[in-house]
Amino acid sequence: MSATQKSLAQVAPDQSACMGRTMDGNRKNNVRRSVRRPMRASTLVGWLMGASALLASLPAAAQTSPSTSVLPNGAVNSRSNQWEYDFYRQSWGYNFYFGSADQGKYDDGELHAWNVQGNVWMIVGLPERANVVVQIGNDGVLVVDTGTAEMAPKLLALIKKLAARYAGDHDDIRWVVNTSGEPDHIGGNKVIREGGKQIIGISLGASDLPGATVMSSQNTLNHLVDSGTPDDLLPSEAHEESVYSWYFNDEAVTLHQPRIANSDGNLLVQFRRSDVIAVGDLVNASSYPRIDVKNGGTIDGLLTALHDLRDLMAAGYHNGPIEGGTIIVPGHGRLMDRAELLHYTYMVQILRNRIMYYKNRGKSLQQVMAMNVTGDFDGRWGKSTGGWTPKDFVKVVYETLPAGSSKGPDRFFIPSGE
Amino acid sequence: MYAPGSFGGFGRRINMAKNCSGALVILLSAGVTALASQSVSAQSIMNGVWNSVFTEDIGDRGGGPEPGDYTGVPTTAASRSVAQTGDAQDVTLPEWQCRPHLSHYGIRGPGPIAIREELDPQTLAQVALRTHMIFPQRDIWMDDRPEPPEWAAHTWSGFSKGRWIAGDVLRVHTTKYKRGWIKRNGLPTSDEAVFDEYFMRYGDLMTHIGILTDPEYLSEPLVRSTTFEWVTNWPRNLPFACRPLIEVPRSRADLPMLLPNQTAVIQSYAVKNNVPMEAALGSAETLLPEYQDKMATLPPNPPVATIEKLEREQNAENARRPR
Repeated sequence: MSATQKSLAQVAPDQSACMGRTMDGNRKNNVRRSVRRPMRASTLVGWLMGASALLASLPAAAQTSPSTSVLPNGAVNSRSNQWEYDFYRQSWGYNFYFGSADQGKYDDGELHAWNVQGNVWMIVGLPERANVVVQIGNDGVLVVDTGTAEMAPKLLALIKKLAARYAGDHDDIRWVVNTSGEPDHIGGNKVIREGGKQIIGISLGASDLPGATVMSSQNTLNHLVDSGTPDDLLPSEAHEESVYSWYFNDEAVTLHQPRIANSDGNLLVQFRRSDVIAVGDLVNASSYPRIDVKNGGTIDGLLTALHDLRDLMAAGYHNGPIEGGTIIVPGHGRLMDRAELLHYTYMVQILRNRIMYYKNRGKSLQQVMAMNVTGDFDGRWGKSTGGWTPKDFVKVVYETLPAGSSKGPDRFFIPSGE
Repeated sequence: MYAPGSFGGFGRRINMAKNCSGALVILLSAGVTALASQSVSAQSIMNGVWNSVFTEDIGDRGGGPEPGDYTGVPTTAASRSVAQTGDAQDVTLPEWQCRPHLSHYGIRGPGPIAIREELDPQTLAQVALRTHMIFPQRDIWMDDRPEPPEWAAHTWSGFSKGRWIAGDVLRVHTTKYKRGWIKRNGLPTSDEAVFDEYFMRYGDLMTHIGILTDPEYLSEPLVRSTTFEWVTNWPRNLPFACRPLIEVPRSRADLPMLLPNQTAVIQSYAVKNNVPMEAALGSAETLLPEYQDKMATLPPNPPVATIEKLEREQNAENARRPR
């Protein structure tokens, strides 16, 4: 017995005296009594039923050979026993973490690919924790946002590696969607587009042209042109519809365009069978939302879009709504399910209501900033990545809220009919 | 009334004594963790259903604390501010009606905890312990699997890894929680909270020591102990399904919350219970015995009638505004 063990053994009796209740007999007696206790008939039936269920599961288990998969970034998938995975899913329902093995870190200088759900992957490791989303299937590859120009060659190489492994006969990049015109969303447009093919004609591969189709909202394209963005970074196809859908890789893909959110040009990409939505900067899991006032963004527009997004999502169901369900990939930071989107939305809404409360009572922007109204959320959301500080957020919220004679209610809500 | 399976460890006669959990935790931290060793003999000892023993903390764990009661928690200015913004009506929002308890909160709930183990059928090695508290299932992974990456979604139960130490003490380390709460009156936890637990079985009793740390909303670890008693009958109400309904008609996106002028509802706990307002706000300082001396020097609270009048005025002002 080591010194530490001896020390523990010596203190154990005193610790046990703290347990708050008198127990009948010591451990030795308890063990003996448990062994000698006759088994009830109901207990016996229960054991037999349990054993039967276990035995029934074993043949199926034995038929599937264990397999170890290696993710594109080299990480080993811990789902080494597929039967075990299936067994647990059947026995216990949805298991959020089963199969998660990649002990990835954001800041290790590498790009990582991570299967979100179904056909959809996310690629992380870009500056400011920006995310790229990739949908892969029999028809080829759809890419949502292209990161920065500097990372684009590495990004393209990883997408091609993923496609080679998980796509069908057609493994080219066919579509690129820009969720906004921010530099970390369009910076790789040239490289990614040139790495793909455009579909022309009525059948895949029949008459492909070099270069993937790059889509954005019409307003985003307009803003990019107005700001003098180089032609090779511009989208090749712009949409004005609030909802636009097509079918790709065995699932419906829907573009949602909020009227106003961070700007007047946000796009969300919904993968309907995979149940994943790439939401771009509408949600930023790393900081307070950035609102581009110059390009039409407002706090109330952002909140409306967040509540609309909530209504597109369903919570996972396992003995009551619990984990998972629809998963969103934010423009920056980690994945979220519906509950986490609600936490994010309500954080934004609480701060909006506080600022509106003070603005309605005549407080100036400087006075509101001095009150540190975001102080209770800054530890999580105010870490000032990329130069977007809590004060920047307070400023745009204050400036885009109604003022003067058009004072609005303290609390945000969406009037019926909107 | 004893569970099948073997168990060992601190099998001494236990006397009724309370409030010793602090000493126990110190001893555990100093000694037990240094004894980390896998023990096959410890497997199975947790299986079964364990009822909560309600001889302590009945207020917090039963009816729940009143708004403004943050006593017993090492709060921070940030956590108090979040709590003072929270409105108890938010549980009526359809999206929150079926919100499950976080595992660091549910373990303190009034319901029983059911524990079952999953074994690898080829090696009989313990893969996981599955627990149910009310309706969320929690998995405690015993197979030393790697933690999910930083970009994985967080969950209500978090990602838990367990191991047996000192033979038959189950130590569990949990990360990747969703944002949550310590008390149902709104005292929050962040998604960076970490929960360390020790499960110790003594015959039909089990002691749980929970150590919650949170860089955002706790100034120091919150340590609490909970006692469970093994029961023979599996409660068939575990788990249950939940389906949200509209309980309170509201405008779309209307969020129940307290605005900066709604202070009276928060202050009423201190005033009605004759607790100094500063003490009711919690903090590490208020947890120490010496704080009683300071309490004697704090200014007296306003009369109850004054707070009640203020509460009526504040409610009326907010009711006049459109929502």
